[in-house]
Amino acid sequence: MNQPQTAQLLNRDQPLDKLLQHSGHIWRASNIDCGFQQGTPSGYALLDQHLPGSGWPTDGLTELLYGKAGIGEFRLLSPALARLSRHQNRWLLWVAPPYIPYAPALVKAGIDLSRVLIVNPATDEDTLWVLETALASQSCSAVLAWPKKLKDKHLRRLQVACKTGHCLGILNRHFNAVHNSSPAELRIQLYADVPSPLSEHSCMKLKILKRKGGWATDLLTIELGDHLNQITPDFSELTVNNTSICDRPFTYIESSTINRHAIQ
Amino acid sequence: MPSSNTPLWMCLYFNKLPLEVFIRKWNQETTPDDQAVVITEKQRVFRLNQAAQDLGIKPGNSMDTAYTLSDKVVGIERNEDKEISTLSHLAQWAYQFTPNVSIRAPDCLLLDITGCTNLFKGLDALVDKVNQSIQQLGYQPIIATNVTPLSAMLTAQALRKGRTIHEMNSNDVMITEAFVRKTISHIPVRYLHTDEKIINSLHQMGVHSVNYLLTLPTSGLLRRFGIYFVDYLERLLGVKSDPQKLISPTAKFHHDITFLSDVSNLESLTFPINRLLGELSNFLFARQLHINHFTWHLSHRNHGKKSFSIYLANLENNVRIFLTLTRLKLDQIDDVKEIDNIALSVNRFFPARATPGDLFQSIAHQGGYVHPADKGIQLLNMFRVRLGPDRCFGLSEANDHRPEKAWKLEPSAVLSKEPSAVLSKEPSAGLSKEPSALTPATTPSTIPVDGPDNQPRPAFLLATPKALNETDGEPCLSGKLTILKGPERIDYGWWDQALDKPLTRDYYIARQEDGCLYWVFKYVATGRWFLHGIFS
Repeated sequence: MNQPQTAQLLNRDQPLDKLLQHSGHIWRASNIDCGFQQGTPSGYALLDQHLPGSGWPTDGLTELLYGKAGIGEFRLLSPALARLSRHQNRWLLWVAPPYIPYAPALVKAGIDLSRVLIVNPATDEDTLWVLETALASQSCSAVLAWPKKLKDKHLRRLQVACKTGHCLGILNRHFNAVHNSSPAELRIQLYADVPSPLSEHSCMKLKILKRKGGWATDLLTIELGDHLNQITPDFSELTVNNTSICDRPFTYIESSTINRHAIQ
Repeated sequence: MPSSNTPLWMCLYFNKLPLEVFIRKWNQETTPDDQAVVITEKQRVFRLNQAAQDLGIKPGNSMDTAYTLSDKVVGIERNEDKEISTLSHLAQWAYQFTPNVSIRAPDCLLLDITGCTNLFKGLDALVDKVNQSIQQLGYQPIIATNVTPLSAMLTAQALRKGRTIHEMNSNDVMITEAFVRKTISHIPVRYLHTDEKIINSLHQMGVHSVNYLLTLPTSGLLRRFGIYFVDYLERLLGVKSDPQKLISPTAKFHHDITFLSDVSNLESLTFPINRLLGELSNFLFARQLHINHFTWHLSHRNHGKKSFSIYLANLENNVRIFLTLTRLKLDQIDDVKEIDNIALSVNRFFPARATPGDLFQSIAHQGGYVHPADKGIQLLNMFRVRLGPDRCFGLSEANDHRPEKAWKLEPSAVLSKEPSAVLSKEPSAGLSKEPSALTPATTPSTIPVDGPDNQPRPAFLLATPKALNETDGEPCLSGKLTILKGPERIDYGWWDQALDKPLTRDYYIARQEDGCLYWVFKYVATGRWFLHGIFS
């Protein structure tokens, strides 16, 4: 759909334009900024522009589809999670995270650790039970999950649970699932990206595949506020000179002498 | 009615106790009422229920006779220990009405309700309340009140069927003795708590009713029957004081239900479980106690006993939560085939804390009266019960410079009821070039500066560092890694690590060709590269 052309057409055709403006019964897909629901601000202005309700859905399932960890999926979510953890007295639940969520990093991201709860269910069945219970319990502000297998009917139940529990549900899934249909409210595919050497922040690309009241977007480049893209000047020569010192740590020598004294 | 200063005693006479310890008569229970049950003692029928009576079985019949009359009779050997323990449980239950409860074995409870009538708005109301509440437990005692303990007991036992009386409805205030004389005058002497011999000789004398006995001169009775009998009569009439041995409230709860037929479907246990939890709730409520764990015992006469405990994240006395958690746990039990007894026990109690409710709900959509923190605790309880206590935890920072020790698990995560304190510390990670009204503006002071506390840390940490391949001394992870930031030297801990291992590490942030960021380190001594974290 080519929007500028449509707009021109509408301008030429005054009565139709009037009809669209004055009757509240015609809903236009392009009109995604419908203020019926306020989302949780994602912290990224560009992303907020494209999300319905200017932020992550407060009570719906969001799917993040990507290939492997490390492309910035948590950095994308962290401002919203930090906000939720500080504004709401509810759990921030992590269901079966693939690695240990690292507490110092969460603190640095501004997340209140006392709200963080991690659950590691033993079986897939338990995982689904935990997800549905948590989403519907009204006691979680956000649930992050890394489910292994999900069927359409599972997703449907989780989406309903999100609505009941007024909870932001985020499913991290492999991008293989892109072509499967999904009842999730928001689906975003994430791509890794190499930032320009001039920027000090790293960045990522994303494409909104499905959203309420809007079409899929083109690739958006999001600059993440992490100061990680700073290439240190090459001090390799310096390091080479220092290796002889580094090889034998000071404490090591000292303590071994102490031991020898003790033996004598 | 005697004034509130006159002593007043209530007697609960459990004439069906030997039967009721095995089959409590639930109001709503589905077990057929026509199941004939007899309690035997020395192979003789001792007590029996209505259905057995209808069949023509009488107390004292032998079991053979009973089986001849019907082959559907269930015979259970009398268990006196169980009767005594049930009676003491019931005494604990009665503690909710008065602090002065005394047990009269084998089948009576005496309650000193002297000062209680005002509290319960009159004697009638109190008796009704006691009656209703005990019927809910499944017992049908005979309740009688009188002004001395013995006379209350006598009145109760002399009443045949489960008719309850409380005779204190006359308005004239009488002195104790005269009142007792009046109320017990019609009772036959065989109900007196005394020797069989004395009763027999009273009958031979032609004295059949208490009325006549009391008209006899005391000196004659003393000479004929001895000091004990006269003493008994004096205590009965209230002439002499009659101190009772009162129970003290014990901090222990153990109730059980026996099933006549084996239960093989655990789901059908919901009703008895609900019943036991209701009793626990009353117990806790009367004493203002909370608990943090309770234990269920499922047993069968042929198999062993299966027990499971349910631990709560917080101190609770909410039966609905207990029931939900018990159901969750029960779903997981699959090695119990059949049971004939279910018991609930609690050993530790904690005084209840008064928690003020939240006047304004912190989250608008939270309906009802449940605090969000309480809901959070309930969720945690459910996870713990279904998944096991070690599969669910919180996180906290630890005071250590080594990355793998800079965090720890927090097994007892609890949502505090206070809102998160630091709102001014709103994270600056949001990189809004034009700060919108919703996101707080990024202030220059929050931009990270290189320093020990501002080194970047990855959101995910590998439990054990993964060794990386190397080409020409450069680390590789499915392609060459570009070193972005570093090194950040992290020394080992000489106080708890072996000294002979060179564990000083240089940490770098490395980027894969496609843009993924990793946290890698190099052992300074060996030069070997490892992957330790992922900048997710």
